[in-house]
Amino acid sequence: MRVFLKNLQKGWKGGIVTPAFVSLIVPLMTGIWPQLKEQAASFAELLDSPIYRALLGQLGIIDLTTWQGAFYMYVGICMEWTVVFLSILVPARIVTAEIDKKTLDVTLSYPIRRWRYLLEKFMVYLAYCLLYPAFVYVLGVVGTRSIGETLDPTILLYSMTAFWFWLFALGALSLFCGTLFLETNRALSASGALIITQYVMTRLGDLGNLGFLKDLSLFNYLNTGTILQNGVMSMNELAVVVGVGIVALGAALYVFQNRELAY
Amino acid sequence: MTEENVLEVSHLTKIYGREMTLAGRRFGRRVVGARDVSFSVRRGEIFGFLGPNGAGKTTTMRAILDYLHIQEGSITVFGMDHHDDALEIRERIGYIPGDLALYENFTGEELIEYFDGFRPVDRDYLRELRSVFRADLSLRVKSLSTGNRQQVGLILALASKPDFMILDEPTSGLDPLMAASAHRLFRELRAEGKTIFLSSHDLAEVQAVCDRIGIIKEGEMILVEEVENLVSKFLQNVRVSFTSEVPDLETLEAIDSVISVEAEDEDTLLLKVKEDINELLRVLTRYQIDRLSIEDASLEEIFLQYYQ
Repeated sequence: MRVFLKNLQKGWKGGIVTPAFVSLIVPLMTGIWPQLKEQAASFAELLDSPIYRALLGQLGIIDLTTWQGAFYMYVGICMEWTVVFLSILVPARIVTAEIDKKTLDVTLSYPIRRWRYLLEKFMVYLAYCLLYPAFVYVLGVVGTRSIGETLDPTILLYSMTAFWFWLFALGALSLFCGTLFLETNRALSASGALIITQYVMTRLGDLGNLGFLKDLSLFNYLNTGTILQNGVMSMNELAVVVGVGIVALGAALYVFQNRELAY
Repeated sequence: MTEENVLEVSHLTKIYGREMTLAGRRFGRRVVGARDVSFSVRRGEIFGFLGPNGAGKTTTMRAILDYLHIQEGSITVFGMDHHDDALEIRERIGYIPGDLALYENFTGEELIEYFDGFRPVDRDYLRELRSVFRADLSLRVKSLSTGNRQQVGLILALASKPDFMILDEPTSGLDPLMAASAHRLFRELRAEGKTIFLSSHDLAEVQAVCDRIGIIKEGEMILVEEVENLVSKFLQNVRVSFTSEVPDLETLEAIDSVISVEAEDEDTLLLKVKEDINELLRVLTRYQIDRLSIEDASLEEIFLQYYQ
């Protein structure tokens, strides 16, 4: 676990500051909730528009006039976009950044299996990804108490856990792109296309007869809106997300272990 | 593999890229990295691997390290296949790449400690390396000069005192004093039976430390020779002054062993001759010679001859 521990130690600044910054949305919301609540009723009418429906997806059907509804809509969107950006930008560059900096040659001349090296570095990403839902969860619970509102901590835990599983599965797909292309721009383009397409498919799936598109997107599984509606995390959906993640991670490790490092 | 050979490269061929023909048109491009390269490195020797830029040195080194997939041939290190037994081989090798890059946020100490977990450092030897190289290991790599980074790279490559070292331009960026210290270390390692496969453009370095050299050009190995023999055997400068008739330059150039003929003045010619000089001498005896001198060419001249 040397690679994991050392990189965990070396990456702590970015690894902690970024989730801390993202989770600031929660205290921000608690601070403006009284004003937000007044405007929520009029804003809720706007959400009936098909454009907003498409933009918000399942989150658009949430009752905005309640703290729980507003919390999940704003925090949910913020977390969704965090998942999109993080999973595109970080895992795809785990390998390619080392190739750009030319540090991989020295490291791989030591007796460590390539797949293990990659796995340990991906685990660093997953470890820091835990902080996003963890910070939001803690601030969400504390913030809700501070303003005297209610927020089901179990559902919050489910939805935050779901975000982490998204980060795992989408991150594994992005990692696979990195190992496939071994070049930053191409890897980022591929992972961006793969992840954003899925995001768009989920949104389009909420319109008209395009529902079938949603089935093809990971964002359709373990969705916050669905968790909120059902009050539970679907094990079938969890199996889909985890399954895709494991297959993508396995593919990435296999490709990196066996492919030629010609750059 | 013979008992003595640490590295055996046999008919190594590596072609980059692919070429396809579709509807009479060619797509893609193939670039020869190495073609039918064969050589071996004996235990306890320093083997210099030379060649112009793009000749195939790095390709060969990266193939040995199993970074590249070769199309043909075989590579064995310590008698083990470079691909199948890559992990076992890496336990016994040290490597410094030509364009060395280290983790910028690590200090030298942290790098040593980090890599120590993969291939244990020889603590006594590390102390010796610290006394030779003066780079401050408590500083982060990003704050080090190029020469100091190279020193850290050398410490990392040598710290475990591996049996076989693959060093791609190891003294690049070092000041002459540090380079001399590195050469001394290489010789000491050789004396202990360690093997070094070294690539360099510094001919003084090659002459100072290498036992044998191999020259690669356009992906093909064109020469493997002992350094000692190279100077005497491979290129000689022959200066001839004639008392009367001077032979036609074309006649002399037609001799296989003559590489070039240059008229220094009306009566004197300077010839560069490779390997066998006898045929030239037979031709020259047909003329009235005033003076004849034969000198070994410098190592630099020899390399330039092969590089061109």
